Amino acid sequence: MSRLALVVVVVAAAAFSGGCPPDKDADDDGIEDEVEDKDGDGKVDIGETDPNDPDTDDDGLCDGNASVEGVCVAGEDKNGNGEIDDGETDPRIKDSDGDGFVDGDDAAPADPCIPLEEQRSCRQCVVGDFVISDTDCAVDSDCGDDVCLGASASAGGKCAQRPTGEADIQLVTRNGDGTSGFRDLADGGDVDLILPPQGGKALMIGVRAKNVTCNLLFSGGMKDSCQDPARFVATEGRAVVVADDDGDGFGTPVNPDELTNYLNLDSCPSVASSRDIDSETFDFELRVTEQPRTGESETRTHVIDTTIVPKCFEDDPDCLCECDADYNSDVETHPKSEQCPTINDNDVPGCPAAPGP
Amino acid sequence: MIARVLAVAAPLGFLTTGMLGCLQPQPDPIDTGDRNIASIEDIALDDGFQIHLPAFEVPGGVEVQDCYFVTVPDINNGQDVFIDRFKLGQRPGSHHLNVFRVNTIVNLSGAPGDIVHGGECRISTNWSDWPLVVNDQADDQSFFDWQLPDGVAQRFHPGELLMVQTHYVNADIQVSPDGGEAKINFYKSKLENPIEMGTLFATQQSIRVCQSTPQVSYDGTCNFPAGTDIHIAAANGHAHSRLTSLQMYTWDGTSLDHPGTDDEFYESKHWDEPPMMTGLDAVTPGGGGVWWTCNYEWKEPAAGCDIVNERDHEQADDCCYTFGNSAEVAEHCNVFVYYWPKVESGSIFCN
Repeated sequence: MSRLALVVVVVAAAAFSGGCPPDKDADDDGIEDEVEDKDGDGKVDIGETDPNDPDTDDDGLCDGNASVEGVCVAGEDKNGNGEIDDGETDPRIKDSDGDGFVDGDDAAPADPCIPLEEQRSCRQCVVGDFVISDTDCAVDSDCGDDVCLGASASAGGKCAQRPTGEADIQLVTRNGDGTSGFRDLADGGDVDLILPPQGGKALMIGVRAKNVTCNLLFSGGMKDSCQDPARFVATEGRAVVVADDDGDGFGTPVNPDELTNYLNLDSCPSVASSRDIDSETFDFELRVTEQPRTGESETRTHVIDTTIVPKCFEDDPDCLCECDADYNSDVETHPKSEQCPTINDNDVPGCPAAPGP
Repeated sequence: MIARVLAVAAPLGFLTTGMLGCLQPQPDPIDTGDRNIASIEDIALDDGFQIHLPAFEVPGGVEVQDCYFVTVPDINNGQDVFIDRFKLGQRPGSHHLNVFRVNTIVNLSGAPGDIVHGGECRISTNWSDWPLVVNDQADDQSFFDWQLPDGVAQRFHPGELLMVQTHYVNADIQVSPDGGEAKINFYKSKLENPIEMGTLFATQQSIRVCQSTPQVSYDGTCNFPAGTDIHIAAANGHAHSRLTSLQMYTWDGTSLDHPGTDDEFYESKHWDEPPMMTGLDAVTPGGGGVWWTCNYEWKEPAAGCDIVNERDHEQADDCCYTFGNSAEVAEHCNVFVYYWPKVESGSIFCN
């Protein structure tokens, strides 16, 4: 009761005297609170900055165009509009230009080419959304010797613009041995089914691409067109990185023996396919989206439609068993020792016959 | 490390009563000092059975993950038993408590009564046919009481091997001041021929959340067979502290277009307290399935990047969190869905 009364008194007094104007910028960083906490839920969600912390990413530069003594100096989002405009840095990311230097310690926090190349990692420098292969690691203030997947010439030697040429995207698939990288995947080509960390059997499909950004979003799947309507047997969406390690202008999966830069399609066991997975032809769709660079809103998406033939790597018996259309994963009641000798029939290749009347 | 139950119990010197990992149809009451664990009542054989994992220590700065192998007791004269209610209680600080059925062994294994401390329990690699039974990720002191939908139950065979996986964190991001302990009650359905519930478990394991690409998402789908509409009764998700949100949607199985909010039946924005949503009745058409999305935002590791970089076998030197059990230095994206009727061809697995 007494607390309520006190509140009423204080509010009344403020109103009578005209009171203080509401503090629209609690942390005095130059960005109004409602711009920082866009949805007003009191949490720092993706895309937001902290209205109670003038330096959300702790990089020494204040979120907006104001300085807070002893904390940070101006500023990242200079016009305070909550967007990363040209010439601004990202108040949510310590190293906005990805050159390895925290914005507050970077003489040009929006220019990945300053400080000089020699101070950065040599093999792959992440520059905005480009991964560049620095061929000589020399002191090179204009990045002139870097290959940006066909972009370096059009960007005046700087890896600072989206490639302008027409995208050229081809499919590749990781070799099942896990040690020899990838191979080209043509229409109707074989794709190895391998044991992924989580169990089951999975396909790995990536891209060899030119005139695209190096950070890509994959969304793709393998579809069984024997069903009406055609149904996806396996899908996945993930971010991948490609890089041009051999200087031919095409980006290919970084760390090609690993799984992370391929679409991972966990295909067996499957209750969704009308037929065996192994050695059958399936439709395949891959959507490749170039991630927007900082400050951009536009994205480009490329769609690839083709067919693939999953193959158990080295005819692994366990794979042949799990990839059969009749496989029952309830091995408590259907032991593999009973199921596997007789399955993976593929005795009627192609679509199964329609059920009789 | 695999240890037999009784061999491990003595050195711990921390047990009040009962055996680690034992099934206790009529367990002795224990005084754990935690009112909510204690409030999980004993259960008579006619009414079901209980798994009790008695108290164990979780030292400061440590994550303890153990896998307990136990068998379903015969409480129905040698016949299968249907369970239509679960009640789970844990001490505070639990990161998760999962119960699976044990099928094909790849690496992680155990005989009834075995406990696997860490080791393979942390990297267990064959979830493709280990169906989920029930799980709980409550970090507070509440217990989880779940009555399955009317007429729906889970079937168990007497002697069937189950694996109970506990994970307690007593570190920067979660604390377990009183150690660990768990009780799980399985209540027998009184229905003679209930509709069988199935479960779906999806796990994304080739995952990376890196400093240079701080905001990433992973999507996956799980399919159901054509022919019968599937009712989703409950759902839960699991990830670590870089997760900003996890959503699940019903999906028609024919399109790569991301489902819209009208199709969403689950969302978690709290990595450490993901809601176990029960009472759902989201229907996915036969031939459709579930679409899930895990969204992450990179954060600087409390212990610095070196430890994260050391466990990145791609050696990217990009402070990448990769798949792993440690809540502090690794990430997860796991999806748990409970549905009915159970599909005939076994468990649903997907990534």
